[in-house]
Amino acid sequence: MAAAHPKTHHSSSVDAPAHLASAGPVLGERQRAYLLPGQLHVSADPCQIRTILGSCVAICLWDSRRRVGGMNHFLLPASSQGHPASTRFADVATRTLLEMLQALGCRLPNLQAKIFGGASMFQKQDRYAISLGAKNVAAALDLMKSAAIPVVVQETGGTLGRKIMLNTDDGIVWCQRIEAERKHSNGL
Amino acid sequence: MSNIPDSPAELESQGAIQDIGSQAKVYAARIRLQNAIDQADALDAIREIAANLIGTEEVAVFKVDKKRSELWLYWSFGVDPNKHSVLEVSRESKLKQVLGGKPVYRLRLSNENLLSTDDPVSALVPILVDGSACAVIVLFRLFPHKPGIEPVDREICEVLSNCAGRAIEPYHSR
Amino acid sequence: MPKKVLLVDDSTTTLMMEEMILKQRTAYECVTAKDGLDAISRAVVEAPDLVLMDVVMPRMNGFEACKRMRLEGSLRDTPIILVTTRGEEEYVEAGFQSGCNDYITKPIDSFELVTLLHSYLGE
Repeated sequence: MAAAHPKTHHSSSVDAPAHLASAGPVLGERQRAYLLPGQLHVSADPCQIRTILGSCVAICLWDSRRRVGGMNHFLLPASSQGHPASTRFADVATRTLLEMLQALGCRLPNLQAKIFGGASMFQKQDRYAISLGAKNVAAALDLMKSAAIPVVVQETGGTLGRKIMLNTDDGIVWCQRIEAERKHSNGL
Repeated sequence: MSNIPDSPAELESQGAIQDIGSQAKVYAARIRLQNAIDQADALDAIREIAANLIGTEEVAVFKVDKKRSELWLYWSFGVDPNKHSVLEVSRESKLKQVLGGKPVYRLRLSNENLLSTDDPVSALVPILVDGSACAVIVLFRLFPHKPGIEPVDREICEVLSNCAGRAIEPYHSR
Repeated sequence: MPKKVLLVDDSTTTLMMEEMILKQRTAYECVTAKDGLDAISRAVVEAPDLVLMDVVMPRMNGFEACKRMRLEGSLRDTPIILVTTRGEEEYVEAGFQSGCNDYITKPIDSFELVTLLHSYLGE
């Protein structure tokens, strides 16, 4: 089910003002990066990281002190031991994202997370719970809990694909649900 | 860091499923090449295998000349043919190895390109006819989401090497 | 009755590979089509439980086939997973706009494919 923490819409002072939220993200002088499934990106320079999700999940991490951020995009909840590490899995993708952010000087206590994706065509809760999307979301939440990183926005589940855009310099994330004929847009 | 473990059976099956996936790719590549009805179809099979099984839409086939000193572009897909019309063996150290009959792959973290071109080359695969390298398949840039040449890709390249002879018929050199 | 999967691709190499993976690791029945037009007629007749469809195909591409399937009453709720070679943003977005439920990228990873299909169809 689509879930967004109501408080998080207003908890971050760097989130987009309401009048900008519907206007969509401004690229400005930022670099641009697009993530395919299994890819991740971090940047100390202003960058707009974008991706599109179905049942996949993206974790956006942002360090408000250093104003540095990054995003991953994973397809599967957990890798098994004895197989090559792949950032297509939640655990490897998130560990790698954290390592890359720490290499840029970020510290875990300063990071906050925004989690997106995990769609499924099943709307009934019992069927959704065993879907790949739900498992990916559960993996993301568990990984953030283990790393003691607060999840300030969670926009997950539902039946629609999502287009995600993170500005690494101000931490703003836009999430646009993609419908067959019409679109909804929210600044988060 | 912890994660959400799936059932033990599910985790155990990951390896088994990936093994089946590798076998399926190698099998499909071999059958596709062996069933190629003519030269054009064999070249199309190389394109299909490169794009669908390995992960590149930039591929070229170069034929070896009689003196085995140059390779001339014979067919390409997704690359500028004017930029890659001829390869001189004396200038390309990796080509000497390939003409010896063994494919050469770009290592995942290597900055060294396999050919002296600014286009990234991921693999050089000899096409063997009667045990001799008559041509070389050059696989250029991989898809951006493809991290590098993987073990299963090497197996597929071995199939290309041994089963793609029809793509360069007639076999005799320039 | 086994769940039925319609595999759509103009590449016989891809169809062979997908079919082999699914036959070896799942109980699903596979039917195939070689382009978008063929896929629609096969889907209407076969009533598959899921469609796994390539995008770039002759006669009719995967986006158009997806849109037309959504207009068919019997296929309106059938899960459609697009298989994209080009993962560019506009391309993937067009896939969702055409009505697909999910996408995976080529070259196909067998574990990803089986896990995704299990998620939609059950084991």
